[in-house]
Amino acid sequence: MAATNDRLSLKVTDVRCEARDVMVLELRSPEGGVLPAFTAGAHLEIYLGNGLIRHYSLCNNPAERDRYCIGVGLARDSRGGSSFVHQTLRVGSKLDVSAPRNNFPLELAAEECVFVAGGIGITPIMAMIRACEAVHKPWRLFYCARNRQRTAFYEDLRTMAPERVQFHFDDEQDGRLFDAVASLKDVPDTAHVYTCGPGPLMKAVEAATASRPQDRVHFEWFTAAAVDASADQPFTVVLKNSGTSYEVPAGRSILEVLEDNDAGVPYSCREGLCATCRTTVLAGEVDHRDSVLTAAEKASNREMMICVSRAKSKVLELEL
Amino acid sequence: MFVRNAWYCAGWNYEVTQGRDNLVAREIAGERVVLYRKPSGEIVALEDRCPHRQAALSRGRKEGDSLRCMYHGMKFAADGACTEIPGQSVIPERACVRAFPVVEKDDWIWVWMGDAAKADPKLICFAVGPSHPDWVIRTSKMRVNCNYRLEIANLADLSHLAWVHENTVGGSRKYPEAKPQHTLTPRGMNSFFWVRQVPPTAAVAHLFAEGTLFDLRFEIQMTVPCNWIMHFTIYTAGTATEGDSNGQLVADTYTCQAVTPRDADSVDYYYSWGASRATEFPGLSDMLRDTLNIAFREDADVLEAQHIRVKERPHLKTIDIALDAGPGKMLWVLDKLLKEEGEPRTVAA
Repeated sequence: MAATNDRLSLKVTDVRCEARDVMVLELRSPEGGVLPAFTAGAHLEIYLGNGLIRHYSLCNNPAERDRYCIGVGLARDSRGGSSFVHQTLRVGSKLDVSAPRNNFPLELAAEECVFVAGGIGITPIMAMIRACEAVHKPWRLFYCARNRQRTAFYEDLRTMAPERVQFHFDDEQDGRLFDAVASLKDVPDTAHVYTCGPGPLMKAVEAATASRPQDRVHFEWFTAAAVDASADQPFTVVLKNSGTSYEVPAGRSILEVLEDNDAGVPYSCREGLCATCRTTVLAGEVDHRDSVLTAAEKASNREMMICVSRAKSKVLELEL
Repeated sequence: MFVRNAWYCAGWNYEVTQGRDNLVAREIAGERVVLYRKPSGEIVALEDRCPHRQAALSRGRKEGDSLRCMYHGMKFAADGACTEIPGQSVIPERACVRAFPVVEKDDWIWVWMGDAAKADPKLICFAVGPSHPDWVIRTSKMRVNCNYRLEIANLADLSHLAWVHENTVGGSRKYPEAKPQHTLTPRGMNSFFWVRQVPPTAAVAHLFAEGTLFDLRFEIQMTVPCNWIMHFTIYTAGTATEGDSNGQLVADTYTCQAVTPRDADSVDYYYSWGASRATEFPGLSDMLRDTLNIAFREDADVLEAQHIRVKERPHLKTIDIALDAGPGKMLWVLDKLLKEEGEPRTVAA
């Protein structure tokens, strides 16, 4: 759980328009060579250079060790992540990413893998399908999209195994929604079901699979958008009790900086919700970003949540 | 999943007697342990598993300081070495069972589950046992079918007194409003807070005139795996809103609780409560123990139902709230020790 320093500096080596408003980017090490391995379902944390951090799933075959491919759909209400990717990143662009992480691992011991994808939710599932194909594991895909033009990897899927894919195009269904209950009716309890897509689809599948063994039903929710960190300034944090001080750069929290320096303190949520990392402020002005302190407590400037809150002043002194 | 290098409470010392058949079988942090007393009085803790074919040694027979497996008759000394294999003259070196370091302290039996060379009795938590001359302590125990991390979270945040123990040891909304001061210790966390101007809880309301209010002082020492020692003092409500109460002392009590994980899905809970000799009156400490027996069943009902749900969706992303500060800190300490021992972090709770 601790913050990791496993940043990779990669280069965009290919950009392809995969479907309407969907781009696939290929990332490689600038020197070439082998990248940290990933497993199907993994994502990268991408530091977009404009201060934003976004998570994008890898869609290529995990057996490929020399490249990462991510699919990025242009969100209609983009808060700066997907629009930055679509408008700014080109072949040759440099990009900092985390090592691959996987919150949505594929259970290849399953008898059968059943995938439900909605829109750009297809990206982690493409990597899973490729992993299944590599070991001849039976799979099925239910793939919902607004229309054929917006269906990423349509050609790949058509050539790979058309008999395994059932498409649901909103504009060809007279407005009928994907029927998760009917679609999954014939899926045996021994199969593992993986779903990635927009909230309503996820909820429909969740309801339709409620009576299945829950260790065989897997969801990858689109992660919440990160706070806009583009205006963050670096500052110095002084720890009174240990007499040390550290620089907190933009894009890293006080908690992460302390952890980097082996001075970690208890935390739980890392989202400013739980108060586990509540810390007494001795000097400096806090930029409060938590959901715990009351307005009056925030104004008193006496305590802060170091997992999310920052400094308005150049220096912040804490009782640590 | 479990910290190995820790003292785990294996029960009250009166449970392990000189009785002929008194071989006490426990599960502690995923290990089977059999406890018995040598004629000298010293307690022995051996792995409850014959090295021959895994028969339960707790179904065996005491012979002096030794324990004989009653399947094929292999006999083991108190240090775990095999001293006899009937019908065979040579005893293989590997024919021994693991012996665990054991200490009796504060009327509890403590067993060290890790590297015996690191078994420092000074690491056993502070407690006040029933044989302490200054306190009238009553004891009890309970089995709860939940993961011990849920017990940690339960004990590290007493705001649940308001809801879970509405009819016993809580009920006031002042508990979630208390702002406990949590201080980290090398193997746990100390917590301190006052709850002021509260009516008596349901379990004791009959003892006091209607309208009586109290100031309650909570001073808690919590250590891994899940030992929870509370010095709990009751005063009639005074006027002070900070610092010590200026009300009258009603009762000064200690409740000492050790939650020992058996496996991932159950714990053995050994606990006590009682008043100081100076504030005890006939029947008070007995009532406190009886009250805990009821209140901990209330906790168990909540935790067992919670455990079932956590097992159904172990990876569900749950939300945190401000009351999680205590549990967050204590579980962080536990996870830190687990990490230092090189075990993967568990995701439950």
